[in-house]
Amino acid sequence: MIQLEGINLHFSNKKTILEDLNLEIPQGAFCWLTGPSGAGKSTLLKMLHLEIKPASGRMEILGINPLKARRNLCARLRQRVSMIHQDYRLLSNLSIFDNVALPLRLQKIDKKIIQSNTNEILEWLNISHKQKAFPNTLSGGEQQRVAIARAVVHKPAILLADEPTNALDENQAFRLIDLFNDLNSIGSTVIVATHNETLIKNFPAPKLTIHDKQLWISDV
Amino acid sequence: MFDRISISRLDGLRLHRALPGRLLIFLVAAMTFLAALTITGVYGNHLLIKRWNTGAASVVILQLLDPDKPVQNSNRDFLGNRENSIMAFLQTQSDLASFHKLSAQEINELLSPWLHGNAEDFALPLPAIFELHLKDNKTVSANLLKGLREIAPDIIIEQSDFWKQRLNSLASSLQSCAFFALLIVVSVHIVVIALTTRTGLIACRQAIEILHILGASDYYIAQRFSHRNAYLTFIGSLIGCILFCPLLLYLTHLCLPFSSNPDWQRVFDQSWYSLWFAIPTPLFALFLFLPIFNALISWLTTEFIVYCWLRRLT
Repeated sequence: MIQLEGINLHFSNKKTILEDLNLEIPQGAFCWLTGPSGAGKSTLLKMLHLEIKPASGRMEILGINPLKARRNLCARLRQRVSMIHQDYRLLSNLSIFDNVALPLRLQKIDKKIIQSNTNEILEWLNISHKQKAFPNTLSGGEQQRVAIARAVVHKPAILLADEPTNALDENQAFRLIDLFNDLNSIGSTVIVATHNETLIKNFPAPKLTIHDKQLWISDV
Repeated sequence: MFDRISISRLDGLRLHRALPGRLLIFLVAAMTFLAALTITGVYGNHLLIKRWNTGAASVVILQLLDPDKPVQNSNRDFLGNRENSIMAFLQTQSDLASFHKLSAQEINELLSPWLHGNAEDFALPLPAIFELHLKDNKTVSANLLKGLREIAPDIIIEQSDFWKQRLNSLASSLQSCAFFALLIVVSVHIVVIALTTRTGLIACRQAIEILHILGASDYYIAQRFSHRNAYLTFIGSLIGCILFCPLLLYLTHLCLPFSSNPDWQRVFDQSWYSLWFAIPTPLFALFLFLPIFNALISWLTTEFIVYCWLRRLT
C-alpha cells in the first residue's frame, strides 16, 4: 500500500516536479508511470524508494511513514521496496552472482536459499552463464537484466522499475513484463515507468501520468 | 546459517582497499610507541617520587654534640643527660615511624672513608647521631623541633622537607607535561582514524549508496568500517608495544638502582632476560591493555564518523 497526501516534490535544483500530490495505490496493484522526459518520473520513483524526501506532505509506504520513522526501520522498509534504476547501480567489483545475491545476504537469508533463488532468477533472465563475470564486461542489455534480477530476487512487496525495458529487445521486454505480472500475482505492488506505448497496450493496467506538475490517473 | 564473514567479503565495500592496512598500522605503531614511552615516564616518575617521599625524604638526621652533658633547662624536668632525654622525648612522638641511634661502629663506618682509620684512634669528640623515620607524608612538626631545642639548643637537625617539596613540585610538573603529551598522542590517534575513515568512506561512496538503497542499515555499514579499523589498530598497537619492549628493558635497567627492590644489584648484574621480571607488574599490565584501549578508541571514532557521514543519505 502506498499513500501520498499533499506531497510537494522538488528536483535537487529546487524546481518543482509535483504539487499537492494525493495518491493511493493498494497493495498488489500494477500500474504504469508515464510522462514526457524530464517530467520527474524517476524522481517520483526515487521518492517512493526512500532515496529522496518530499519538500512537504505526508507519505505512508507499507504502513510506515518514512518521514517520521527511525533510520533502522527505513532500512528494513528499503529491503521490501525494490527499484530498477536506469543506470543499473551494480557493484563493479562483485560478480553477477554476488550482485544479484546481495539483497538476500543483507536480509541474512540462508546460504542454500540464496544459492537456489539467485540461480533460478539468473536462469530465467538467461544470464546464468555469466554469473561469474563482472558487470563492466557485460553489454547494456545484460547489465539491465542483472539489475532486474537483483530487484526481484527477494520478491519485494513493492517493485519500482524505471525504464526497465529500454535496453531490451521486444521479446525480452514482453518476458520481463510477464515476470512483473507473476510477482504482482503473488501480492507485490509493481510500478513501471516507461515510454513504450506498445507495452502499455499489450499489458493493460492503470496509468499514472505526470503532466504539468500534476499526476493524472487513467485506466487503460 | 548466515555467515557474517562471507557477506563482509561479498558486499562490495572492499575495505582492504578503502582502508589500506599498512599505513594505518605503521602510524598506530608509532603512536603506541610514543604513548608507551610517555606512560613509562609517568610511571617511573611516580615511583621515584613515591620512593623519595617514603624513603630519603622521610629521614631526619639529628646530631647531638656533648651527649653526656646534663640538660640545662629550667622550664621542664628532663631525665639524665642530653642523649637519654632526647631518646625519651622521641619515644613520645607520634609522627615518627621509628628512630635509631647510630652505634659507635656505625659512626666509624660512616667516617672511615674520610679518616682512613678508626675514629676512636683520633680521640675525636663524636656527636650522638639519631636517624628518625617519619611516617608516610608526615613532615617534621613544630612541636618536635621545639622539644628538641628545649633539650639541646645546639642540636643539628638535617631534614629533607624543603627538597621534598621542591622535588614533588618538579614531579608534578613533569607528570602534567607527560599527561599533556599523552593527550596529544590520543588526539592525533583519533584524528588519524577519523581521516582514514573519511577517506575510506569517500572511496566506497558508490558502494555504500548502493548498499544503503538495498536496505543495509547504518549499523551494518558502521560495523564494517569500525571492525576493520579496530583490527588494524590492534595489530598496529601490538607492533608498537613489541617494538617498545627493548627500550622498556633498557629503561628498567637504568632505573633499577632507584627501585625499592633490595635485591636490585643482583638483577642488575644478571642477564637482560632477568630484567623482564624487574618490570613493574602494573606497567606490564598497562602495556597489555594498550592495544585493547587503542582498538576501542578506533572503534568508537570510526562508529561516530560513519554514523555522521551516513546522515547525509536519506
